[in-house]
Amino acid sequence: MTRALDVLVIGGGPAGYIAAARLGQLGRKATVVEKEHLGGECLNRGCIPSKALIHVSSTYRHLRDHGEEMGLPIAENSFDVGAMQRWKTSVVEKERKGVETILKGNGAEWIRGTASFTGPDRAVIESETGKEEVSFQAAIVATGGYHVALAGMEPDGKQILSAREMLELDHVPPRLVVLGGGVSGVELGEHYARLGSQVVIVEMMPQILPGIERDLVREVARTLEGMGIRLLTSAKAEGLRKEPAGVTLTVKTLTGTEEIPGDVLFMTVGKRPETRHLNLEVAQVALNVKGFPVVDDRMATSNPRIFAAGDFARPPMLAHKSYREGIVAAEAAAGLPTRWSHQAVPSVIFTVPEVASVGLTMADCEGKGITAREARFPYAALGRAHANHEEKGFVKLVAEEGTGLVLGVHAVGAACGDYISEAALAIEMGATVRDIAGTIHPHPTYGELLGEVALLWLGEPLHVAVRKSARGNP
Amino acid sequence: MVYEFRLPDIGEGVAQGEVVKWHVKVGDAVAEDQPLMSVLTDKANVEIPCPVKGRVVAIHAKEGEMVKVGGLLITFEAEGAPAPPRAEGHEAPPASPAPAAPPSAAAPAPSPGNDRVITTPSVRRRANELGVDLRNVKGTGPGGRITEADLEGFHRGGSAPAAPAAPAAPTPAPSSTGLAGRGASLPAPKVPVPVPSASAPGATVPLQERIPIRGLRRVIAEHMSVSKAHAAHYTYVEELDVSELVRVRERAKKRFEEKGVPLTYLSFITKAVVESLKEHPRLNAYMDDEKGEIVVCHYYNIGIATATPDGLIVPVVRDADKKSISNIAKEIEDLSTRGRVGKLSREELTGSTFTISSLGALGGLLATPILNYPEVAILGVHKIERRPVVQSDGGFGVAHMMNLSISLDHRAVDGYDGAQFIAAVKARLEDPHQLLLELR
Repeated sequence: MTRALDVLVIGGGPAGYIAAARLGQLGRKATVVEKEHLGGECLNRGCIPSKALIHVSSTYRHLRDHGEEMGLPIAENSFDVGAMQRWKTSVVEKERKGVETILKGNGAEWIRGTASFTGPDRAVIESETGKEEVSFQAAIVATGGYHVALAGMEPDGKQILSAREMLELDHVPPRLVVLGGGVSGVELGEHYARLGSQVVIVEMMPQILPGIERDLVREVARTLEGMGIRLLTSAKAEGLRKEPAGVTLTVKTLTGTEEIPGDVLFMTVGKRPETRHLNLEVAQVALNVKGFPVVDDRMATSNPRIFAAGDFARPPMLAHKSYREGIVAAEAAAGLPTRWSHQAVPSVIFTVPEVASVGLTMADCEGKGITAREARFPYAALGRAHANHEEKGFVKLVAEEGTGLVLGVHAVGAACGDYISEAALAIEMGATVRDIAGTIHPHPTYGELLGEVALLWLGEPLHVAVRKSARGNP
Repeated sequence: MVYEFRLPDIGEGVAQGEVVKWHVKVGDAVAEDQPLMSVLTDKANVEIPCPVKGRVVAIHAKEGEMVKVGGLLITFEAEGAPAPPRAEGHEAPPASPAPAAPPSAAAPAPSPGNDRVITTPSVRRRANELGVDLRNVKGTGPGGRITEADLEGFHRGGSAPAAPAAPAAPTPAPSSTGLAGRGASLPAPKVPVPVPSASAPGATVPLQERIPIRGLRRVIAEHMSVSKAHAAHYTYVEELDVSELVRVRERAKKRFEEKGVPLTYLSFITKAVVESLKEHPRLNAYMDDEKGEIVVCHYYNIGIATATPDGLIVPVVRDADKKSISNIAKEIEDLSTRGRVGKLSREELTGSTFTISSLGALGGLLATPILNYPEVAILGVHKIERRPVVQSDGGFGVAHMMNLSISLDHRAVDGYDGAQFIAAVKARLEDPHQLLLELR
């Protein structure tokens, strides 16, 4: 018995559930197959739980470091890891229910199980109730990515931990070795350092957070090192020894070989698209040399019935990119004229200080032959930054010489992940620096930084090197 | 190292593909994943990304050439080896997401500075809906920004596309080229030599444009020639009074539109055709020229000729005899929408037993449709308009009139049979109540 489905959505993460919701809006019926919880990595073992924990530890650390001066002293180690975990879990569970409601509200069906293709327009779904053969009008594959580990260092749940397990620790490991200085390695390494872990971050590239501009990273690295985190860059993991008392990682650096002891090792060296178990060959979905499916700008694969979205489809592996691809894939699957036509994908790293970036850097402009100029405005010149005791950081604006078109904004400092949206809008809208400078930014907020850096770019700065507190309240 | 790239198996079980377009040329520095080429297989256009970082050394297949799976396409001088398929060391997987826009596998080549389209997300969305390439629209806003009005104006044909990159000087081929040695006495075709017109200083519009017959255009060209060469075409035209049909549809239209069904005349005509084919099965047939047989079909798959930006396609409403008028309407709408954006499966584009070609409101007085070979009949549908008519009482009146042109293969269907079939269709469309009574 083959059941005829309308649209089969494989994966209930950000790309999958958003695609299902959009299909519902378009009057199509989505059947979502998800083997774990709805919400995918982002909601269950990524963005959301990590932010719940990071918010608590950074609040603690801020008060520990500045509380006395600001009038809210806090005792050393006055945090409760158990309560922190319960808080995180409550947030995740609330969000999961939210996703379930979204699916229901859009008439989508959720099957807890796995799916693999048995032909270009058919698949088999395995769930608790057994195997079910289905055919589909269209399918959207959004299975996400899986974390890779170095050979011989696969997470064991005890001494070698994955991101999922790092988010569930019921204690603060005294010595933590982080293998991989990418986003999650740095975010979670910093989190445990705030709570007292001695942390070493080992990164193969010459800098942590590879791919992010060096001056932004330098600002983060200074803070990390200031709180005692050791950053070992250009360092390659050579081997790992497990002992009863912990692990020892052998690392080859530019200067020699070093042994790094720790209680646990956090393995976070990267992700690959989850193409295993899908039987994509039978579905006539071609993969490129990097293992991602070949997709067009409607997210269609080489099989015109099958679409891809999210981490499975292509980098960068970011939840908000997945959402948008889910929308495009759903619209395309429903036969609407649609296209990925976004100008830029913002990215945010939730360190303290935060890092946010959207659009082109000066180096990008050079590569593309665009004549651009950059202005840089410091947090230290912003009233609100002083009031919050978060004076570290700066924001950079890249705009085209002559036209003044906004091409990119890159920031490190408090709240930049929030105000970066304004920069993303500017780029999508083709706004000029004059447009940003001509917009009133409410005082006193971090958002003012964009208005100020725009004025600075135009050569009309009003606040650089002049502290707001010295000018009185306008 | 030298890296040779061969046509990969791009699915659909196809053995070969046509090189539609190269996005790179010899000497280009290329990055991994940048758009490399478009390949057309049967009906699907596939974008192939560049597999390596390096430089293009040689291109082995010309645009328009058919290449077999495994056939050599292009040679690169690659920088290092291509990325290994699995993580073997610390270095393989990307450790962190890149902050910039994702390398979209099939997006147009990353546009250098001046190619940038400056507009808003809402205009981009609208352009997608209209199928307009914004790179062709001239923006009138600050810094060349494309406004909603610019787009709508362009779409209505109000503004000319931004000047396309015209070839610097369209040079006609020297008259002897290609003919020498093959009978040089043949007179060379006179190619008008473009002379910059004094009245239009600076105008660089070429006097001729050569459009290669490629992709869908080639499929159409071959198909039509085969049809004309094999079938013994004749065309028969009839005039219908569809006043009652217009009334019936007008009454029902709104109710159906609320349910999202565009109740088109075409759906009524399709139904009338199917019911009439049941009485005249010889027209629901195709020629098996190899065996010298007429294959009469007892299923009713109606092909609907549909114009798309790339050319004519014929999506198929399967088992139309088992579907209601409104379901047929819905299906035609769906097929043509997806057809216009090239998203129909091969299955949806093959297997028709009878074809209808309608130009809707445009559709003139009569036509001589070319058969959708090897089918034996194709019906052309013309516009409905008010015309003066002589009524049964001898007086003059005004009625909604419509013409039908049917082309038939005389090898299979004689004139008398064709005329009888059209009479049956006419009877149903002139008295739609009869048609509605026939419904299951």
